[in-house]
Amino acid sequence: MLFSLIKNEYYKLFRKKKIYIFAMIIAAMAFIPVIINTIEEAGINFTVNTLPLENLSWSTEMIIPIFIAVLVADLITNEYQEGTFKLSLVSSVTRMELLAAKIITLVSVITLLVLFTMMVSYLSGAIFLDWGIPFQFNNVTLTETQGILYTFGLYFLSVIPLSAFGILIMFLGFKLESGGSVVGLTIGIFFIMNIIRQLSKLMRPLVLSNYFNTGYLLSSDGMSDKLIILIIVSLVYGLAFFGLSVSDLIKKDIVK
Amino acid sequence: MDNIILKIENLEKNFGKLKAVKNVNLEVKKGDVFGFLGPNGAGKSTTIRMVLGLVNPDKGRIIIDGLEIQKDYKEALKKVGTMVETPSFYEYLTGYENLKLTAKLYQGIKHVDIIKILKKVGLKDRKDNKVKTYSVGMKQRLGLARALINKPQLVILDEPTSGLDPQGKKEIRELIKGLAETEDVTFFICTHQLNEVEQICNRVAILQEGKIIANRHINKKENEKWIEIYTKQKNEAKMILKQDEKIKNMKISKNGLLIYTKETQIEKINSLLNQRGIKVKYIIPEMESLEEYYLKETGGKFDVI
Repeated sequence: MLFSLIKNEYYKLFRKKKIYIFAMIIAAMAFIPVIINTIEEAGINFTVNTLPLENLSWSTEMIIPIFIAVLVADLITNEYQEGTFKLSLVSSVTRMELLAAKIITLVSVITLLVLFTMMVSYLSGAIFLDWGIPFQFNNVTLTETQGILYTFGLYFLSVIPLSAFGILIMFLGFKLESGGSVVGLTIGIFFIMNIIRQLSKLMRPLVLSNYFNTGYLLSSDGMSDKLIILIIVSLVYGLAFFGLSVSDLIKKDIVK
Repeated sequence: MDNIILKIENLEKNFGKLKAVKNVNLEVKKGDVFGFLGPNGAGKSTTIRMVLGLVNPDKGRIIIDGLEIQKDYKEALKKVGTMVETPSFYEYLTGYENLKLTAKLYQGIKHVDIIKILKKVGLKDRKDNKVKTYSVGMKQRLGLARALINKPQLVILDEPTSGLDPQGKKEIRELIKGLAETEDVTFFICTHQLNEVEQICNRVAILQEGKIIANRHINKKENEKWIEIYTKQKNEAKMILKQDEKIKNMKISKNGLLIYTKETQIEKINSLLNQRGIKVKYIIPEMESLEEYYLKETGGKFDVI
């Protein structure tokens, strides 16, 4: 049943234009550093090794959080308001099964978009840029394959805090009455998170958006400690808002 | 008990201070086309939503074919097809795709089954058009197709003809009547339209301000009813008609004799009494229609369309 529900969510998602638009935006944005590279006055020299990390930054800190809001609005809020949320429930599907299917869809689509960002970054880099200086980590020079694997790891790890953020927004998606308000509130929350990050060193480790761009894991020592904190903070956010969503959905009277 | 497909016991629901459903009890037998009648805001949709598990009851039990939905939600709902209010669809998908999404949630529903049901509701030729291009009537028919796709034993329809023009209403009613006769499906139809119930239902419960105020069979022309024979020869007429097995009940009235039988028997009774020398002034069947009955019960709060 869960598999059928997830297949249905994917079917609906890929019959809409939104995911293709976001994919096109990501592809276009991934290409911008390549163009900048051609402008000598800019004084920037991106390489195949550095381009994916550069693109990880803006995709996880700008495009994907907005996409999460749009996706949650479609998966939850718009479906509820348009009366299609109940269609599965009256077809012998439990509320928990439906919630699980929506969360799995959300997390898997975030993963797909993150990996798509990495793929187009490597692709545009490989076509237009040089490989440049080899990747270095902990004073060890990595081979190109190792560099790609590390980059893949960083991209993959960014899925963890982004998914926790998605679950937070999903909880709000049940509460709000329009897809527009979900997107608006998500941007607001994201903005506030970033302000707290900038203003308070003390609060910074508690702010989820602090962990979206996992590129920081490479920047200095103590990678394993940083990784553990990333996972703990993400789990706390994810589990807390998952619990709230479950409790809310079980009690909810579906009147639309 | 085995003959009961839906049983509602002591069902109650409050929304804040509003008591939407108050101690509702009813039973729907297999094969019934059951009308759940009430004015707008009477609590019909809330009751239906509780039956479908969409709204949590404050009190009471709902049993579908022996399974209590609060305990066996999945199994109980497998036997049910539904169309709740104006049916909702993924408007950007085609009619076929919408049915396919629902079909995937049940086992063993194949492409041919979807086509068959689309043909039954007259949408086969429009199956590949997006639902956003459908008229209200087509959406209602697609909603009905979705309600029937899992070959349910019980179909719950909430205002199935809402928003339709007279022709559309007629088509949907014919469709329901046909399905009830040919597919052996029990229908539970929630409506505020008296004539709808009169035309397609065999039983009706009436809900007003959250309470069931009446629950009865519907007299159709072919059904039995009280018929008054106006004659001065009351006792002689009674003696003669006593022999007739088709007369289920009989009593002396102020004007003559009251008999309980089918309306189609009137001509035969009249000629029998004439042959035996009884002077009959009039024969008048009980004229109270469902409309009159319910307007009386509810104080005139129904739409008569």
